[in-house]
Amino acid sequence: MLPADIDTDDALRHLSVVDDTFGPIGRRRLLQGLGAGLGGVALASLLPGSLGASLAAAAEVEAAAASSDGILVVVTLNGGNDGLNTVVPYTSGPYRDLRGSLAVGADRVLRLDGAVGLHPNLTFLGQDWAAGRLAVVEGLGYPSPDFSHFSSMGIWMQGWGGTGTAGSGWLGRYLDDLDGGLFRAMVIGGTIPLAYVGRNRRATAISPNAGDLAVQDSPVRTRVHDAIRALAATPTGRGAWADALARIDVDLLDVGRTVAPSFRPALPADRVERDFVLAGRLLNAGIGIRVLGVSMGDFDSHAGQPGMHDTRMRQLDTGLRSFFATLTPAVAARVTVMTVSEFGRTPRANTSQGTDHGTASCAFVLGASVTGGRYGSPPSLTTLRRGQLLHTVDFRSLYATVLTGVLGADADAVLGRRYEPLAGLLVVRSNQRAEPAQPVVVERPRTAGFVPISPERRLDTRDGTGDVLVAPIGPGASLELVVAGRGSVPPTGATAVALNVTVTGPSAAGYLTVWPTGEARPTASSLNFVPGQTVPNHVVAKLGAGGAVSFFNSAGATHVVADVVGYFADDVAVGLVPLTPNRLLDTRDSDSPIGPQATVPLPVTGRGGVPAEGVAAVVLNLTVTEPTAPGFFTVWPSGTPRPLASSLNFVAGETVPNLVVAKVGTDGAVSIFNSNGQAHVVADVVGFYGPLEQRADAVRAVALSPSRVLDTRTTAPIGPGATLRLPMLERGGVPASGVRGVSLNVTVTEPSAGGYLTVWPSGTARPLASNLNFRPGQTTPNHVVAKLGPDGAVSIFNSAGSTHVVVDVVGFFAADTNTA
Amino acid sequence: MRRAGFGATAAEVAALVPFERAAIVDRLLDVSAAPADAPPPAFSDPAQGNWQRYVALVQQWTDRMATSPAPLQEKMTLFWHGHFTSSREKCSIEDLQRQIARYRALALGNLRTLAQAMAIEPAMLDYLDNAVSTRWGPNLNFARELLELFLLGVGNYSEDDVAAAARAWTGHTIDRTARRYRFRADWHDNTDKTFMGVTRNWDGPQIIEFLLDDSRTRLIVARFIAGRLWDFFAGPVPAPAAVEAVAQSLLGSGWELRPAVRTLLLRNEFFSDAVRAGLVRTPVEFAVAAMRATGFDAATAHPEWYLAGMGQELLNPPDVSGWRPNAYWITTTAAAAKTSFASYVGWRQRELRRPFVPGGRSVAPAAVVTGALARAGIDEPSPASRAALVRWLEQNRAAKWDDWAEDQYLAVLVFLTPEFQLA
Repeated sequence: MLPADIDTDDALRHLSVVDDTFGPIGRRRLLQGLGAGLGGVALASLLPGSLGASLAAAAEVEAAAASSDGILVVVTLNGGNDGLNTVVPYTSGPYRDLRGSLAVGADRVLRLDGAVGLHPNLTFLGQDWAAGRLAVVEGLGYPSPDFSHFSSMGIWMQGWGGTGTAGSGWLGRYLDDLDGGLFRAMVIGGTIPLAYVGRNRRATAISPNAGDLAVQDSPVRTRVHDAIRALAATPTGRGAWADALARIDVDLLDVGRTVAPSFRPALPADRVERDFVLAGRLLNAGIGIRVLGVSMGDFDSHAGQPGMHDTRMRQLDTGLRSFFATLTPAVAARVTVMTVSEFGRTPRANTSQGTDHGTASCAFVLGASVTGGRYGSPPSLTTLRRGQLLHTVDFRSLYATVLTGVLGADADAVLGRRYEPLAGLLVVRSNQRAEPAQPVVVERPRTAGFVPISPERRLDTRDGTGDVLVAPIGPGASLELVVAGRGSVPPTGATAVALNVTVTGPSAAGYLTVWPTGEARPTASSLNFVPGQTVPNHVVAKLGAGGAVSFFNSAGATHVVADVVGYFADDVAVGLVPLTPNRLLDTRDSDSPIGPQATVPLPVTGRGGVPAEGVAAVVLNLTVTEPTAPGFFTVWPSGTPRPLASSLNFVAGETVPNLVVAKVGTDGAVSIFNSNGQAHVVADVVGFYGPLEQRADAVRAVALSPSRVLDTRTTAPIGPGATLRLPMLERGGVPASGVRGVSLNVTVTEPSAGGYLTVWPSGTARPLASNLNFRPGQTTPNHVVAKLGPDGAVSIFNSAGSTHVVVDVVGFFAADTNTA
Repeated sequence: MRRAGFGATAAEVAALVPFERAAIVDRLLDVSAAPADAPPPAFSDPAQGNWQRYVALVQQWTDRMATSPAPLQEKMTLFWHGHFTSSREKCSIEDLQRQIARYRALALGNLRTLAQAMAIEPAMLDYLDNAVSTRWGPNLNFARELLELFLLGVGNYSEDDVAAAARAWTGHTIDRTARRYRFRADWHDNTDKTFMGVTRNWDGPQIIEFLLDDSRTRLIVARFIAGRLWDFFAGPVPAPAAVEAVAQSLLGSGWELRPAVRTLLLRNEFFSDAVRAGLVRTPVEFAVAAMRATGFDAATAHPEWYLAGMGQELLNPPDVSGWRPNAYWITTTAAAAKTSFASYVGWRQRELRRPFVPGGRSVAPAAVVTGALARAGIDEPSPASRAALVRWLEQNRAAKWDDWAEDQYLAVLVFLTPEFQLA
């Protein structure tokens, strides 16, 4: 297991060590069920009956009832398209270094923005970009990448996130639940790729060479056709394969009758363009197609890449241009095209003027419903694993996007798991069924009680904990973490969670925002960091859609670790009792720092205002000071096994505070563990959670989506010894009355000297306590729980130097209003 | 005969009836009567370009399949073409001709010899890029497929093994002038590599030797090849005991293929109803069976015009894993190409006045159908197929001006029966 805190180099080393990802076990596990040849066994198991049932369906032309439904056209780039030379990071030095003469020059690319440009042959796509209907999705891949065409295609085609292997394709599974006959899904070509083979239905293949088939232009032919139908009229008695062979010839007649008009006038001679034009005509024919597959290749540019890839790019561009030129406006309005390829290529050019099998790559999505722009995030060219790119977006998120946005399908069911669609990529089409308008009901926010738990690790991008990608969160990227129903958090009833969030190894200065999934991302930071720094913070986050919270990273790439320390629920009668800060422990007093791998007990009940009985959890402001080595603290209930979680992370010499909510053990104590070196710890108790019925002063919590209420960077810093009054009522979701306290995320940035901040109720005496300690130049965040003064405000005091302060409100505390 | 070759007429089957099963298999395995192997004449004609040479090669090969007295040799050559495959998209047609000839010569020989020869055939060196693999930039393509698709199978090696094997194979390249294999010591990585846990100065051929000799890998190789052979001859109906027997034959004989194939063809599982009904003729088998039934050579039937549409273009596999079985051939596209090919052959019969059943319209419909089915090698037609053909013939004869269609469409409909399309 990874330690809770490791530095960037360590993290990379861990990421570079072979678990079984590239080794035999992973691949074997992966291929179980996939079959010996691509779809060979899988398809074999599909027959008998099921295939027949679908293909025997009458081939009548589909009714026009679905004439407004979206149409998905999937263009498969076989062989592994070189993403880096398709969407080119033309300003990147590492790109030029890695690619050498294979690099597409900055003077050649069709610039999309200041960072990336399209391959120069993608002129049609460039026009689409300018028209705002081309989405570029960067960093697509999947965990434990496979470098075999076969295996990786299998993974992409199956598009399965559930357990085991699917043995069926993602579009096939979509087709399984769809009404309609032979033409719902079609592929141009001679064989049906696994992607289009479902559990009991599959697409219909239509060959560009098949134009004259099944023309019934004479009694002779009619009689021959009748004989072919007679061969399939009754079971052959020779087994399922024989039956299927008889039936496919009948299907051929049916298909031929329907598609024959699409072959006139003659198709273009160029094979790729021909397929695209045929695809367009078939869609125009209005035969009920929802999914249409076109494929082209070969993109496997091991050698002689420049000429080969230039040609493929031109063919793709010309094909798409011809395709859209073929479509009628009514059909074009329904069509979304997306490209897929089984993998990208090695970032470093080989010595054969080529590139080898790689990992992450890009995809295009274009059409009338597309909101143009860049999605996903470009994989790092400097942080590589075994010389390969680390993907940033799971390709199944792209699938989820089109399944829901174009096909209106249940993406979770098709993909076997929840994958978050790429937000905003597809606009809701005006002719899609709209949900009936709901009357807006203004309700007083419900308050919630708190259930503390022993810390549970729910997210770790360094090892994939939380079903996330083993990759840092890229700049401008976000990930969703389902919290409800995981570990000790119940699937329903929880309204918010208390998290200890840590960033580690950020590559640039930035901030993290944690907010309810599904809501607009607020302008607020949950945690700020500078390159290389490991920073923890206590974050109370409201749960959004699907019981999930979203994490957004503003800049650079950073790993994120999140431990759940408790949750808030309506039906829980446990409330917070804020206390005047009271010091429970300061190891500097006895000059006895905690040693490496040592644990100190901290009795909390009956001390510092905490009662002896009825205490579920304590809220501590924990500060580490003078640590001799980088490490972390874990705080957990005494008498229980130490969880893999960190409450506070630090590097040598740093003073770091963090608000820690710790469940209390049966002996009334919490344990504090130090991972490395010698470190002093200071623990102030600032509140506790207890049963509401026992404490008239207990309050219940309401979690809010974070909202910025102060940013001195737009005005003036707080000077030395100065106090700033910050009104809280009717701001950021805090109501006008009934509020006892607020939950704030306070960040100090650009301090000119070392010092501390104190936050306390406005209009009362300033206590001798610190909420947040900082050193010159250091950006430091901390979660602060503060009572409000009689005037509905808090005061913020700065001890030394001048510093900017940023405050986001993330929740408030109120008397129990649920029964009011 | 259908499985070990490319189909037999009822008469050919009847001639074998008196023999024991083992004796029949031994006759099939005796390929001494196979005709000599030489490039088609087009290859020595400078006026013939690549495409013409390709067509000539496909025609020559399909003719051999249809007419060779040793059809099992051609069948095994087709197997190796699908297994150690290469494509005209990346290789010169001359190299491919030599590669196929090499596979043919070694088709039932020793796997060790064949694997070593395969690795350094210029077609393979080009197809999987080993020709450009140097110690400065080892190309992983060949090394990966050697382990994944050729000898070991997925899951039996690590990514490190692929990298080590690639370094071992550096310098094994092509003399572009002489168009033949050449070892360039200056390109070869002459340092220690760790392959399968063994560190030494590996050279490419030693990798193959190791896989066939080492106690950890030899059984895996034997079972992998045995499994592929079973899939090819018997189809997807699993028979673990039969596969194991074939694997043990390979190991026991020092990798001799002839006894292994003999073991397979004599297994009881091979003759089970499920296996007999469990394999669809590949397009090449379908086309060659039609050529055999009609007696047309490739220059008359032109299978090369239709094989791509059916999904199996010789010398142009879809990818490095070759062709896949059964359901891959059951698509409307493949059916369209099959229908077109059958129709063309039917039209040629009428044009060349070579009716499928001699005697023509003076023979009663039921007798014509019996003769047609026998000629196509369908010894046990289903009542439904038979009835459909007879009824068609009767109706066609009843239409006053359309009786000519009998000459053209009789064979077409026979070829489209499910019985003919099964292997």
